Amino acid sequence: MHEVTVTQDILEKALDAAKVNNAKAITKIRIKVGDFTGFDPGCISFYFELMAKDTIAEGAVLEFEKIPLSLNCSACDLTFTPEDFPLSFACPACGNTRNRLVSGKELSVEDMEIDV
Amino acid sequence: MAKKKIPIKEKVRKGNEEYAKENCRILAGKDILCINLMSSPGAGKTTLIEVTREFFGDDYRIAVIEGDLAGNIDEKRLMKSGIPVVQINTVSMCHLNAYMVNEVLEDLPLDDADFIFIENIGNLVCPAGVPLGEDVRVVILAITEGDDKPAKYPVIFHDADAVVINKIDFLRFMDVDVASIEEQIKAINPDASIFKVSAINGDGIGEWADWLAMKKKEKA
Ligand SMILES: Nc1nc2c(ncn2[C@@H]2O[C@H](COP(=O)(O)OP(=O)(O)OP(=O)(O)O)[C@@H](O)[C@H]2O)c(=O)[nH]1
Ligand SMILES: [Mg+2]
Ligand SMILES: [Zn+2]
Repeated sequence: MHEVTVTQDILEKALDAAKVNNAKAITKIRIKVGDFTGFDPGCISFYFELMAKDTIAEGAVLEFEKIPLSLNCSACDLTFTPEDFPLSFACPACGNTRNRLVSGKELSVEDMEIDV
Repeated sequence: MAKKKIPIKEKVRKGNEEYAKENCRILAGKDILCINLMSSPGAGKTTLIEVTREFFGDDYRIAVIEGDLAGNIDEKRLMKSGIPVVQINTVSMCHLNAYMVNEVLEDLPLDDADFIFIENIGNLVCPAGVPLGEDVRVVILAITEGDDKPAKYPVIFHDADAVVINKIDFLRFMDVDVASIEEQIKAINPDASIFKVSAINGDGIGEWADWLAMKKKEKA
């Protein structure tokens, strides 16, 4: 459900950029999405199809680059992706559970392809 | 017709971040601690606000922003206790955002409040990723929801400053492993403060209220 608002945001960003670049159509949009955002690419694509109808983004392909959850251990400085996420965030080297998030929360519109 | 690739490189929901910062700025000058209160529906957000206010008595003043899809049931409830409150209706949206909060924030008596509680929409998923400009993030988990929720909904627990395990009085009727709930929270977020309370009979509310007061001092 919460994909509705972010999809709206993605569409608006794409349409704004299309206008500036005098696009006739938007054919592809590339999106980065972190594994730790809880956003489901399939769900975003589904809403996008509905929202983009009758705009120049209708029929555009959404291409997702998934960014893995990556943590930096505050005890031994190892950067790792937790193996049995979501059950454990412990460092595989030293077992420490204190860490800093390095990646996994991204959600951005990277670039898009247009017809001019 | 020519094809062309154009860079955008923009964060989605950047607008929310800007409003969150603006809310922070509004509150910064006011000596107020702002709490984003999140839980699944019915875990006890409103009851916790009521009992906290009762516990504080004349020591601290609180004000509340209520989020619900529809209606003003919780607003009326809090007004009965004499708590200044504004209600936001999100209609179909599953979380509050910083813009909605920004629109009502200054309707509250900001010069006469020590704490602002923002009661988010009942949901353990969506509010997690949407900062409102709060100082602390608190998740309430009622033991009646079962003892596996932190492991199943890790994102919201990962970013919480505190977790309130509520409805502890139900332990008499239910076989729930509270120690396991605590272990799961610690595995995801070892720095979260954990409180075991009954918002109905007041058990454990003292420690929770002390924590709030401490956070407020830390901010000032
Ligand atoms: N036994 C018991 N009941 C509780 C406790 N806390 C809340 N309740 C009851 O649980 C029900 C839901 O509590 P609310 O405070 O309305 O929960 P909420 O999270 O605000 O609910 P929504 O705003 O609808 O998401 C009410 O009937 C409360 O009286 C508790 O500690 N023990
Ligand atoms: Mg409520
Ligand atoms: Zn380590």
